[in-house]
Amino acid sequence: MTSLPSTAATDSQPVAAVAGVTVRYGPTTALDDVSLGFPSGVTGLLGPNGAGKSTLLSLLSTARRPRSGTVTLLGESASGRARVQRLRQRIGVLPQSFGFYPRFTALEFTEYAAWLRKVPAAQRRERAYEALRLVQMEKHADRRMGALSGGMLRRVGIAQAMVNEPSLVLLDEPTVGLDPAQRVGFRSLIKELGDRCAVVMSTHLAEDVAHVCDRVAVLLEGTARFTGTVAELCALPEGGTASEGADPDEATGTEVDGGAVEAGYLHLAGMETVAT
Amino acid sequence: MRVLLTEMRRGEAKWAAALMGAVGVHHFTSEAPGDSDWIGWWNQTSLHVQLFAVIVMGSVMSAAAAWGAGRPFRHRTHVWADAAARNGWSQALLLWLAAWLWALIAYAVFIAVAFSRTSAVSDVSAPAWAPLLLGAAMMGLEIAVGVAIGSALPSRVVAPFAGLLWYSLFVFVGFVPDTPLAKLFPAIDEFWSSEFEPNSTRMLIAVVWCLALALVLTTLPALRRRAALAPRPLALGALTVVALVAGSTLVAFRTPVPDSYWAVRKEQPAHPLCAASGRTKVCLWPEDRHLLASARAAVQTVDSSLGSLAGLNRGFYASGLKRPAGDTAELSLMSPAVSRAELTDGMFTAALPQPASSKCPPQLLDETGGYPDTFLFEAVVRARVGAPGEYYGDKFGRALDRVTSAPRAKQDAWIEQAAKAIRACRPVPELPR
Repeated sequence: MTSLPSTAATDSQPVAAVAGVTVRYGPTTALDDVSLGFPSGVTGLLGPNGAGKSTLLSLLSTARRPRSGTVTLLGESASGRARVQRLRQRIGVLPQSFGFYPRFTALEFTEYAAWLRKVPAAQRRERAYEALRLVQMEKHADRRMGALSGGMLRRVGIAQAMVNEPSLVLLDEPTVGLDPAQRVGFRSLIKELGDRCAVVMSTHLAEDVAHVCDRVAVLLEGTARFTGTVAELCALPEGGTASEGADPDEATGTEVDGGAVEAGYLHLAGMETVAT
Repeated sequence: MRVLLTEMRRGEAKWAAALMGAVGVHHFTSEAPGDSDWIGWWNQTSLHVQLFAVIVMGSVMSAAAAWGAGRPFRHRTHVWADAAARNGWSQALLLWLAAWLWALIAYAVFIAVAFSRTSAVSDVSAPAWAPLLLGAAMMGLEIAVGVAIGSALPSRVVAPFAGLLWYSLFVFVGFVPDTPLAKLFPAIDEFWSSEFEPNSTRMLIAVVWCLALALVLTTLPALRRRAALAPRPLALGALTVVALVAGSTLVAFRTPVPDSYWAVRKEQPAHPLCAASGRTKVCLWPEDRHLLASARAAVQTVDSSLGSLAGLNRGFYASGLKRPAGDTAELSLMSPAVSRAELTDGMFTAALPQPASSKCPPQLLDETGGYPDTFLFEAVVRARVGAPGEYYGDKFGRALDRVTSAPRAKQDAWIEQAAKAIRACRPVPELPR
């Protein structure tokens, strides 16, 4: 398997970073000595099911503490009750299985999320409207959550993650369960979020990475196998070591397709693409 | 504030409170004043509202709170709620407060209904607030237990379990009232006539205990869910200390038997309400002034019926009122809306002499078929005043006839001597022939 040197270290100020983190669930090691940095823009966490993506996101959300290693968020170490509380006010989270209260309206639910994130009381309603407007759900603000479609629910999920105007947003498999049309719309929404704040998005879909992400980190069996730009990942099957010489900004603007990303990913996983 | 209103509007507790509100209003309006032991007495009214609220509504609201607290599991919101900046205690407090406020709204309706019924009977306005405050705090504790249980166990079964837990506790305390549980989890099921008033000090300590423990219990979900931010140790420690001090103080209090743990006897009134007619007199507590008209009529009836009979009590004092020595007796009022006929009957009963010592054994009389001689004495007096008592069989009837068919002077003499004998714990004299 090919492992490329991390380019995160070259970024002057990663918004979030983990260094040497290890997480175990009983005898199973979910993350093994992982060091990654997440700069501004959209960073994809690519890997198969069970690779440790959700565990890494839970570390970044401060919901979980690593057995060893450190987590740095927004320039501060994510430890200590007061500091974690302060950091959580600047982080938005959309978990993979997004739970919601069906009897709440979209506005009430987003406002509740604002309360959870300690948005000042005087600003909560305005921020909730603003977040719903951001995801184009303002027309459905008074509809009950239980009456919304899957795509709408995901949008409200993004709205609740954005309601505190976070500096870091963590999205866990945000496009799972969406139909193709919804997925396309959702990808452009995530891209827009990347202009406002740092976004870390876990996915096992190469298409998502190709269309949304500026950078990508590949997790396999609890270890970080790659980190770099999407273009660098695409260059791997040709034996390129683009990460060392490529201009990331230039690479970001390059149109890549999901097939190329998938080929790079499979190359890292030690598998060949199947010609059809 | 708006989040709290949303939680109240969308949470499940409102349905439980609405149901309890309907049941409670029916309960407090269905009883007739004449059959009631609380309509007309402010202390009893507060106790009655408190008892219903704690045992019935508190148990149901505890179940509703447990159901509401399990919502993050049922809807999988705990995944992101635990990663929120708002600590887990605040989240549990929101659920607790929403359910408690609904319970308090229903409670306020009960109080309004019950007070309106009592004010329609009583001529004074003296609401007793301490038992009501205790009831509110106790419901807060019950709901907090529901929140703690519902947050700890992600099963739907915990909701009815929480309600049954409380109901079972109250049933247990009802059967075994001497345990400290009765002091720590009060649902006061006692009868306080006008001679008692609430022991406000103990009740306020119990209020502090209930609320402090409730707040401590609402921290348990946050302490259990490791991802959620824990409460500030200082706040949690302070509340725990307050709960421990208040709880141990309640347990440490002792009350001489048979006095109530939660009540104290009132000071003697400066001017008890008295009505007199001839040799007969009745005195009531000022709180029972609504009974004065009935008492005046009853005392006239009793005086004219007893006439010049000697040996009987002729001064009647409501329970708790200081009474002079001599032929006076305690008049027990078991209902605040007692009628004139019931008052008259109560005075006839109180007119009967009692042994000086409570250890006096019953003197059984062969002529009555083995019944105590006091039974015959009462039957004779009641026959004289035209208020027949119980039927104890033919043999008893023949013994009664022996006395009542005797000449009036002989009857009077027998009654006077029998009264003296009963007071002295001796058998009554031989029946007249």
